[in-house]
Amino acid sequence: MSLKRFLRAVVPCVLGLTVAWAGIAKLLDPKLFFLTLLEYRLPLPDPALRVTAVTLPWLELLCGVLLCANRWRSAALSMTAGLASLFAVTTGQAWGRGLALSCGCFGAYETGFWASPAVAFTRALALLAAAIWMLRGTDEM
Amino acid sequence: MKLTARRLRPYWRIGIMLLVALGLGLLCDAWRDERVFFGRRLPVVRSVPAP
Repeated sequence: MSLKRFLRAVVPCVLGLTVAWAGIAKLLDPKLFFLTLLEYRLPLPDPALRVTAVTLPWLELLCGVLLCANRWRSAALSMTAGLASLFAVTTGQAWGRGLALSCGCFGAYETGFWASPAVAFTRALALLAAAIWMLRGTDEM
Repeated sequence: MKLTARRLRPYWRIGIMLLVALGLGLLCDAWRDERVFFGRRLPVVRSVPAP
């Protein structure tokens, strides 16, 4: 088995587990996630932030389960790429503005250096790159 | 490029995923004790102009 084939088999599982873990961690405490969203000081109305706080964790969990189960691959990878772009923009603007906050990506299970906006931004870019790389080689529509 | 059902499949699947996530999110929020979406909003404090 070549390295590329091995990576094409492993990367979706790693991506799926990471996204599903992030979703479950947020689902365990949605209020904390909502409070974290407020800390980002995004120019969004309150109802939009509340809908995001209740919907995003389920979307992540759904993407993770579909990626691990190798179902709806193209849709799940596109959605993961979209979510990773959203995370990159959100954490990037927080990093750029120098906001001292915990990124909230993995709920209360992530603290200190790993929860800093800079690390979260880098992680989001890595997720985005992995999703796009997988999406490029997906035949299934 | 012709728009066929096969070509459009990922898009409606993404739509289904969004709807399922929204439905589950709102349902679980309504069921929880500490509600985020259906919770009580804090009143907006407006500054009163001085007389």
